Amino acid sequence: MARKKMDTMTEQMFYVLLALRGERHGYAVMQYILELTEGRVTVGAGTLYALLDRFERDGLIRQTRIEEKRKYYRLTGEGDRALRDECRRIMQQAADMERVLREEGRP
Amino acid sequence: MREKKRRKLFWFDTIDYRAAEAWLNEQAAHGWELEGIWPGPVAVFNPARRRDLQYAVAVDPTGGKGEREEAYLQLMEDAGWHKVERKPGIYIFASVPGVNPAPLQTDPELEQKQFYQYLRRGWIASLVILIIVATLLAAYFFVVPAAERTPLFSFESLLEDNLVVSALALPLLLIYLVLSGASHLRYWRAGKRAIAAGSELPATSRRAAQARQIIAAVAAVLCVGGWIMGFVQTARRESVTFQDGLEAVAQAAETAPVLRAEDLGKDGWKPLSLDRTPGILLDRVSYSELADRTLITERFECRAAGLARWFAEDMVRAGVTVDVGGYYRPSIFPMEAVELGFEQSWICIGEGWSQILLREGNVVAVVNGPLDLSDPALPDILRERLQLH
Repeated sequence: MARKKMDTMTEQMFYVLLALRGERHGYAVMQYILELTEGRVTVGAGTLYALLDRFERDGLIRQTRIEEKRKYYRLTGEGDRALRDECRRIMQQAADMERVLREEGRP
Repeated sequence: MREKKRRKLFWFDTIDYRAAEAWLNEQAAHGWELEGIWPGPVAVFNPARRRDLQYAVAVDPTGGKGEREEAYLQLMEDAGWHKVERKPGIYIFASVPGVNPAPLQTDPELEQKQFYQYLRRGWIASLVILIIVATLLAAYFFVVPAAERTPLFSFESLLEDNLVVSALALPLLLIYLVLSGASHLRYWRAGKRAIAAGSELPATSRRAAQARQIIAAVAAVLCVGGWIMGFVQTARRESVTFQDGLEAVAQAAETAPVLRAEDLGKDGWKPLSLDRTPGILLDRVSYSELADRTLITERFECRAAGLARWFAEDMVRAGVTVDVGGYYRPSIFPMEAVELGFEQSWICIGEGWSQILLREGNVVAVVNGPLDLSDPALPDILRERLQLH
């Protein structure tokens, strides 16, 4: 069955997928993102619930277990590919920016 | 000492979830903590025991059952939001003491999509019902000939107070649906503008929410009121029947505005029943006597002459004859307008019987039985006995 392609990844989506490279439950994902970004990126609990639901339907993550009413998730192979594609896109954007700045003679 | 409580009407539909959140936070700022929302709907508040109280209201993404709801609520709890109340379509959360939780929604576009996903389920169900109703109505109009269709409102609708009161709820429900639809459209457009500007989704108008809830509440009261009025009308009905004794019925009929066989110079008729039924829009008197045929009187004193005119003309349109017990049956014999000295009058001639329908001012009267329509004294007898002045 064809999976829906993630055509526009927001920053919050990116960090949620990044957090699920390891098995985590919802709140742990929120905490991980806050810590990783030093408070720069906040994902609200309602937004996170919607994202997890969507990622699971799109096959980017899978539920691994339920413990004390908390659902644990982990990235799937397809999710890992989507994340790496996005990372490459971001790095390419950064590289393009650096090149433009060098050409302009700015650091 | 008993804690004082505050009760306020909870005006908000699902679409008003952001307005509800703002309102609850206003109550919290004034020192009131939500205890719950009771049927009404009435929000009950207690004095707040802390100052760091915050509220968040979310559109229900779970359908309110099972494992999905459990996991959702656990996530909210972990994030510092404790469930206080659930109403159809929304959850109300209060911040956990000592915690300053992040807002529930940090992605306006996703929030709006989530909201409309929830609504879509309701819209699809409503659309299916609408299609079924429209198909049935269309089939009715195409299959049933115009002359045989039952109108939405007929003279018989006015006889039952429960129908009269309940019918008032219909236009209110339509207005509620239109206002709801307009609110949805306005909110969707405002949401799109907010997302394009990178800002939070707006709240709906509190005044619009109040207007919708008032209309819905009045419609509900009318529906319940109609049901109650049915019982009240039955309780107020006065009946004397042959089971109370023929003499009792005859005595009651003497002063009642009804036609008796003795008024027509006929003897040996037995009075069957006399009923007086007061109503909101008209007061009804029904009387019947029996010999080899029946003689039936139905008199309706309407609240206004215009109503009486409509009532009489609808009876003619329906082409009915009255039967014992106040039942109306379609007749194969047509009603024809005649001049009898009343504001409006019609006759219908059957086999061995005839029916006269009269209107004078705000009174409509129907008499059915062995009437001698050629008797020149008949109109005066009818005017006198039926009190048509």
